[in-house]
Amino acid sequence: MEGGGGPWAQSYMCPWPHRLGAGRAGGNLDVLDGLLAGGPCDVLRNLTGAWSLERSGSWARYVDRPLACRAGTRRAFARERVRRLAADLGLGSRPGSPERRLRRSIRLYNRLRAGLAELYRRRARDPERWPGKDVYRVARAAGAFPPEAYVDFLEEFLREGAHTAGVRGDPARIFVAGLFCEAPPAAFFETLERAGCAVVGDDVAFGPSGWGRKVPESGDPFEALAAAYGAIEGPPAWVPDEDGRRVERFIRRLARLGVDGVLLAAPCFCDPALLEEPALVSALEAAGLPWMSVRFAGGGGSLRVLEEQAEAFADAVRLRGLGV
Amino acid sequence: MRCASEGWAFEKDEGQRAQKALLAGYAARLERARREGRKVVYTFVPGNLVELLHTFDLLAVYPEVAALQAAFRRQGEPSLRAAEARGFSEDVCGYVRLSVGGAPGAGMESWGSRLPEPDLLLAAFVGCFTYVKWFEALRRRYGCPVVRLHVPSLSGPAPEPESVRYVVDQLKRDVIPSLSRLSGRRFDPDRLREALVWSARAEEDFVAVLESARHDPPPIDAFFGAAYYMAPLFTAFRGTPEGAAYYRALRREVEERRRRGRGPATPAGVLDRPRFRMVVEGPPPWSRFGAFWNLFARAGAVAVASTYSKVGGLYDRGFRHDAGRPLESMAEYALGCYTNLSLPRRAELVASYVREYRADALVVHSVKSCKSYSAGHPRLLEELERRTGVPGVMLESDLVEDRYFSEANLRNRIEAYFERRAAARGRG
Repeated sequence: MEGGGGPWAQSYMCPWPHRLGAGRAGGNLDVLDGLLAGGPCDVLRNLTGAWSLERSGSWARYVDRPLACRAGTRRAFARERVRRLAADLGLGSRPGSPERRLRRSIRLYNRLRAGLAELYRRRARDPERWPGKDVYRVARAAGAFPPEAYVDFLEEFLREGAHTAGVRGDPARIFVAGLFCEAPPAAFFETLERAGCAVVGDDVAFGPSGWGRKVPESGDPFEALAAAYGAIEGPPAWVPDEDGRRVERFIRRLARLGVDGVLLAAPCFCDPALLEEPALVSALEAAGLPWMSVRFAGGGGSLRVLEEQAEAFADAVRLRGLGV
Repeated sequence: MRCASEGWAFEKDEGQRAQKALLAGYAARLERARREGRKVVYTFVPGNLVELLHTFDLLAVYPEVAALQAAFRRQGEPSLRAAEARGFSEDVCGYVRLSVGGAPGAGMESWGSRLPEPDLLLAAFVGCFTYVKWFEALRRRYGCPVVRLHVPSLSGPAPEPESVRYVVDQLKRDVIPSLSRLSGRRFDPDRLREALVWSARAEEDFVAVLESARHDPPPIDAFFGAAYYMAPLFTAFRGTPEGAAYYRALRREVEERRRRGRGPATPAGVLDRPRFRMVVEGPPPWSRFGAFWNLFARAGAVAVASTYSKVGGLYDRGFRHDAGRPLESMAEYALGCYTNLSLPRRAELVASYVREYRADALVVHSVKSCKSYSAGHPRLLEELERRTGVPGVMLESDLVEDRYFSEANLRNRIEAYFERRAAARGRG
C-alpha cells in the first residue's frame, strides 16, 4: 500500500490517508458502497469527508462517540445516533422486525467478542501454545469475514486447541500498548516472538481485549446499543480519563496478566496515543516495570530494527527477573 | 513590527495597535488574578464559552493563544525541546508541547505577563480530540479538576437538533454547576443574556470588517490582518462592552480606509493596488508569521477571505449569539466553528468565498501540528480547484516549529505560483 497515497498522502499524518489514497489509486475500494467511521479521530472524520468528495452521492458517515461527562447524556445522544444509523442502513425497510434482527445481530457479536476474549485469555495463560502472531491473525480475520462464518470458525478453532508452537525457552511476557488502530502486519508479532518476547496482551484488536462489554440481548436493542456505544471504554488513547486514575487501572491490568515489560508502540503522528506515553512511562517506572518505546508507521518501519530492539529488551527483562 | 534581517517591516494599522493594547491589558489582569482573589479557568478558542465565564466573574486563559504568542515572539524553542525531553514526542501538536514544556510551576506568559495557574480546566472540545488529551496532561501538571464539554462534529448544513440538545444538556448539568462551585456564585441567566447581547454586537461589526474585503482594493488582509482583528472576539472580550467598542471602532476605521480607496497595511507597505486576491485555507505559521506574510505581500497578494478567521466562530454565514435562546445559541455557535465542519462543508464554504470575493488565487497552508485542520488537505484542494476553476497551491509548514518552516522552499513555491497565475491572466 505504501507510496500509493498520491494526492491524499501527507507525510505528517498517520497511515490512514495513505491507505485510503492507495486503495483509491488501486481500485481496491471500488467494491465498497459506503464508508462508516467511528470517533473520536480527527483524521478519520476528515477522511470520511474526503470519501464523500471522492464519490459524490456515495454513503459515508462519521459517527461521533459520545464523550460527555454523564452516562445519561451520552446514552441519550448515542440513542439518536444509533437510530439514525439504522435508518441510513435501511434497517426498517427490510423484511422482518428491525428489533428482532438487531437482537440477532447483538447475540452474534456477543458470541464473537466472547470467543475472542477467550482466545486472548488462553494466550495470556499459555503463550507457548497460543502464540501472539497466530492469535493476532485470528483476531484480525474478524474484520474480514461475514460474522456468522467467522464466529463458527473461531469457536471451532478454540475447541480444537492450538497446534502451533509459540515462543520457547524463557520468554519475556510483554504487553504491546498503543497500536489500537494501526493494524500492523502479523510479522510484527512474529518478530517480537523471534526476539524472545511473548505477547500476552495488546490493544490492537481492542474489542476482544476485554474492553468490549457484553451488550444486553433482551429489551430494547436500540437502547442496548446506545448504552454500549455511550460507555467510556477502549484503549487509553480513545477515551477521556474520567477520574485521573486510568493509568493506575492499566498497571493493575498488567499485574493481572503477569506482564514482565511493556512495549509502547504509539502510531506515528497520532496525538491522542502519543500524549498518553509520558503518563504511562511515569506509571510504569513507579511500578518498576521495564518498558521500551518504538514508533510504528503503518508497516513502513524496518522489522529488523524492531527485532534488535526487542531482543535487547527481552534480555533486559530476563536479567531483571534474575535480579541482575 | 520589524525584522531587518528578514527584510520586512510592518507598520500596524490602528485596529492592530488597539488589539495589542487590549490583549496586553488583559494579560496584566491575569497576572494580578491571584493577588486579587480571582479564579482562573483554562479553556480553548473554538467553541469557547466565555460569556458563561463572565457570568461567574471567572477569568479565561487560552493555552493555544499563549502558545502561539510564544512562537510569534520566537520564544518557543526552549519549551518545545523541554517537552520532548520529558517524553512528549516531536510528532505531537506544537501548541501542546509549548504549554507543557516549561518547568512545572513556571507557568506560561502572555504579552510579557506571567499567566496564573488554572483553578479549573474547561475542556470544551470542538473539532479536535487532541484537546482532551492536552488538558489531561495539564491536569497531571496542575492537579486541578477538569470539566468536559463534548461538541459533536457537524456534517450537515446546520446543527442537528439532537446535537444541540446534547450540548445544552452538558451545559446545564456539568459546565454551569462546575463554574458555580468554583466561583461560589449562583447562575444568573440575566447576566448571561446581557453578555450575549454584547457578543452579538461585536459579531455584527466583525462580519462587516471581514466582508469589507469584497471591495477593490480590499481595505483589510482577511488572513494575516484578520489574525489580529479576530483575537478579542475569539478570546476573553466576546460578551463585554470593551469588546463591542473595539469592533465598532475597527469597523469605522476599515470603512474609512475603504472610502479613501486604501488597501491593507502589509510587510511590503500599504497595498493599494494588489495584484492578486487570494483565499487562504489553514492557519498561519506563528513562529514565522511576518516572514510568511512578506512572501505574499512581495508578490502583491492580499487575502480577501480565509478560514482561519472562522475557527472561533462562523459569523459570516449568519450566526449570532442570541440572548433570547442563550444556551441553545451557545451550543449552535460551538457546533458551527470552522474546524468542526466536515470536509464537504468546508469545500462548499471555501468555494463560495472564491466566488463571492472574486478571488483569483487559492492557498492551502497545511500544518504538521494540526491534524484536525490539515488531514485531507490535498483532497480538499483538488475539490476546490474543480469547483472554482482557480488553480491553487498547497504549502506545508507548522504552527510553531521553525524547523518545519523552510523559507527558501516556500518562497520558490509562492513565487512560481503567482508567476503562473500572472501568466495565465496574460493568456486569458
